[in-house]
Amino acid sequence: MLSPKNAMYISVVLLMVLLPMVNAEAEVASLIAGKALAQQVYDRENGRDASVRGTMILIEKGRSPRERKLFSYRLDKKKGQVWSLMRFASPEDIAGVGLLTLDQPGDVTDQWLYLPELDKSRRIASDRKGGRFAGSDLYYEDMQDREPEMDWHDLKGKAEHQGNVCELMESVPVKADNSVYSKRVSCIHRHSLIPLWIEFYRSGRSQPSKRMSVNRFDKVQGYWTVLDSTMSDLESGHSTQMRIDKIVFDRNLPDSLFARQALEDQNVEKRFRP
Amino acid sequence: MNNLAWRYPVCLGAVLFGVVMSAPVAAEETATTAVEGKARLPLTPKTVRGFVSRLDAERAAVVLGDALTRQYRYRSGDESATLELRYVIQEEPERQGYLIEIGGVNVIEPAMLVSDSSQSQKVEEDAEAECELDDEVVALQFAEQLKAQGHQVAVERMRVYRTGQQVVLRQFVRKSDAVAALEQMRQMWLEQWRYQAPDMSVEDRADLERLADFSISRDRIQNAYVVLARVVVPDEKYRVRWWDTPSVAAPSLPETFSSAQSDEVFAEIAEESASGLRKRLRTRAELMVPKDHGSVNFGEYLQLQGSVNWQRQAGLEMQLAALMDGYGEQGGDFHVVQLRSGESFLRWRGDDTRLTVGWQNVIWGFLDETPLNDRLSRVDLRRAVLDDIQDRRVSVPMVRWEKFWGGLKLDGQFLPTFQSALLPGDRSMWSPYNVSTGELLGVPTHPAMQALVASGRIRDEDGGWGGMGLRLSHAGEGVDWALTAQRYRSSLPYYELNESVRQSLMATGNPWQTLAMTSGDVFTGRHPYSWAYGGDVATVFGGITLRAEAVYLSQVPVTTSDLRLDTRAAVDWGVGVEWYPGDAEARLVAQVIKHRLLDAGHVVDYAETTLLNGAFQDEYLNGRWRFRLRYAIGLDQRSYYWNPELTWLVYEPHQWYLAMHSFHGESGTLGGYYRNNDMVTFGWRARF
Repeated sequence: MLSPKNAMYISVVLLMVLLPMVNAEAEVASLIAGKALAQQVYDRENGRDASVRGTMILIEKGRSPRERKLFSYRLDKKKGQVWSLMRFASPEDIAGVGLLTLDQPGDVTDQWLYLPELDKSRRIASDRKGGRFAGSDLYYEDMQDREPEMDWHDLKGKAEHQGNVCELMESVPVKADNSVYSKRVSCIHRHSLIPLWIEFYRSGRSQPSKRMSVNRFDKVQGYWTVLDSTMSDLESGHSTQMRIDKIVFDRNLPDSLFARQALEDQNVEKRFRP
Repeated sequence: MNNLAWRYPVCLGAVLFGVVMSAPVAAEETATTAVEGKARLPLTPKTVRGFVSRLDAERAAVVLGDALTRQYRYRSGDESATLELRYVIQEEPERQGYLIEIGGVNVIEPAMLVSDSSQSQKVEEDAEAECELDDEVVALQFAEQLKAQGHQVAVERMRVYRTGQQVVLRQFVRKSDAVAALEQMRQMWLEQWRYQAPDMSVEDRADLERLADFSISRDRIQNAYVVLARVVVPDEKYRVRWWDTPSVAAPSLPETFSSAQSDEVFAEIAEESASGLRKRLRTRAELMVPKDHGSVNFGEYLQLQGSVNWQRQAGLEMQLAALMDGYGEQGGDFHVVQLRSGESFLRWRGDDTRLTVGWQNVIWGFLDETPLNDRLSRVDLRRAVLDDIQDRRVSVPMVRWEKFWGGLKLDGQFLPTFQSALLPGDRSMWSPYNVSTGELLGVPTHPAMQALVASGRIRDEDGGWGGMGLRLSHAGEGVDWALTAQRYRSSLPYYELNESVRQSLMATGNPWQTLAMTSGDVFTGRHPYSWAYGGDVATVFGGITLRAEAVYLSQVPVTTSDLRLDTRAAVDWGVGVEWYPGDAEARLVAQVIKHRLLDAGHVVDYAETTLLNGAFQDEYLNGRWRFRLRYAIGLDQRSYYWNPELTWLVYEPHQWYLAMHSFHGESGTLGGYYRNNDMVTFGWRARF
């Protein structure tokens, strides 16, 4: 006579084995479809290069909103190799600070920070994932290029965001130590392949700790572009609004813009400001 | 082990009936966005074929080569539009068809079409159009035509997946037979492709592995298991985009900033760029309360820094800067207000060169706080080590030349005149020689010296040229490095006992008698010339930034056992790490700095010193508070300096801080010399 515990165990195993083929196949299908969708989102056309004039607004209850004005430039050298330069224009205590990131082939990234008060650039660790960028709600990982192969992707149905229907996709890191998040749930707009919102989960928590939502997106020069989004820390109530004031794609930005001279000399980078 | 990783192999194992491996089919772009007068319409192969079939029927009425305009009703899903297509038809007998050269597409209706299902978004007008074509030759020819019309054009190759119909392969009574047959057929299909197309691309092979869509279905009517197959084949499409946005101006011609933003801050930035004028103001104020100094009850400090930077012509830049320092020690009766030049210079900038002449503050070296290859800068010791390194340096007149080659930089400095370090007055609690105790900073206490320091006159030498240096540095993949060669004079004085005083002291052994016989200076601050050859390296390993420096110094001043000034060669080296514990906001810097005299012999100075220094910093409550701890610990000779600081950051750009400075250590060390200067400070800083 089987003990209740063993009976339960065998029942579960049999149930798993005898699952209707449609359900098992559907699950596998959703995993594969999820990966395909993630790849499509990653491969979404966003121009060979982009020049951005943007504003980052830090919003917190009981405190005046704090604005950071910045210029950023991106150059896609080839698949998996992205160069970027960011320059803060205000407020005054960070004005002139520059961040140069060269994403090299083979998952190697070099990063340098320029500090105007020392008038020199210094190499910094580029594989920081946690830590808030410029005091915002964006972690360093949120700003990094994350390839689809680094996560398992599963489709979870449909949802709606501001009248737009989107696909729910759950992404779990393949290796837990290469992300500060245990899970991300994204709402992907099929037409534009833009995640209209993303919920970020930390390990051991059933509720999301952060949420990114798109406030406005549109086509600019043929590329679907997020023009206004908000990252909210659901635990502290702090949020960061990221607004693109102007963006220009495909200007044939030169490699020299992503070199040391442009990082250390604002006047070299100024001529490319949109 | 995450949930999906658990489910995936279980699913595969549990699926005895086959696996659906349907690949995603890239949805052919059928939705349109359109604006009156311009259009963006992806012309699918079906659309183009539709045109061709119509043209076939109308061929008799068409004159080949003429530019034609024809309306075409387009429908896809719930969207529809009437389009006006302008094109030229060319016959291609070898292809048995026609080439349609498309000159443009206009949308007749609707006049405005939203870009997605939301009615609240309006598509902005832009000057771009695109279309998708199956044939590479057609796409390239179309692109050439657009370029000839003066448009900017881009042709992009895209991979698409075309799904075929599902077909029934075989039928089985038993499920196990169907499963076995499915796997066999799948392998045979893949092998067939590999055999027939050995030169298939790696990309296609990977696709085939993924797109082999074999499945098993239950046919309940015939009570059988059916093996089905659906082939999904990768294919290529070519998207041709054209637009009229001008490309960026040539680097030699600066762009005019002409945005009409309503944003005030960006308007200010724009105004600065347009006029070439940039104004900056920085302020600091501090109250100091010593713990138990004996003579100083409290102190105050105020600094105002202002600068105006002007660029009018391409390549030319001018900056004027000034600083005002006000410092006072109540009880010690020391007050001083100084006005001096900040970084004021004239700069010429070429494509990869900068030449700067004037007062500048340049700090070489990779290490924090104590960069070893920083030999030419001028030190400000008026507040000892209370401030960060950039506030402990003073600008000096120099000619600086910088040349860039990508990540490589050659940096040269020439200092035509020498200026010694800015020192506090001898009555200040921060003076490097203490007239009360007779101690000299950095020199172990000696009874004879005590009397001479306490009662003698001390002067600092000045004049001569300041030195020069050349530094080659590289910021590249994985590692940064630098090599430096300098001919320098340390701005910090090394106090030499005057020869007549020394002889008298050696003869009599009595410092008081010596002082009575001396009428001039007892000590003179010297700045001997020396060569410095050094190197730096920085890299990142496992999330930790490693920085290291080493420098050989040819002539470091020392005092021999018979109190003469002499020089020795020395080697300084240092290694530091920067780390973010827990990958959060906290930042930790730890450095070991070693100084060693080579062949020291019998000298009064410490022949070898080891210092552990660095900082810890963290932020709390969403950046409202910042805590920082700077520290310096002498390891060979016991010396401790701690500087914890808590800063309130709520009201930008103002910072309010409460800090403590604590000194402790052996005679002659930093901690030991300033042991009576423990204090609490309360301050404010702001930048405008």
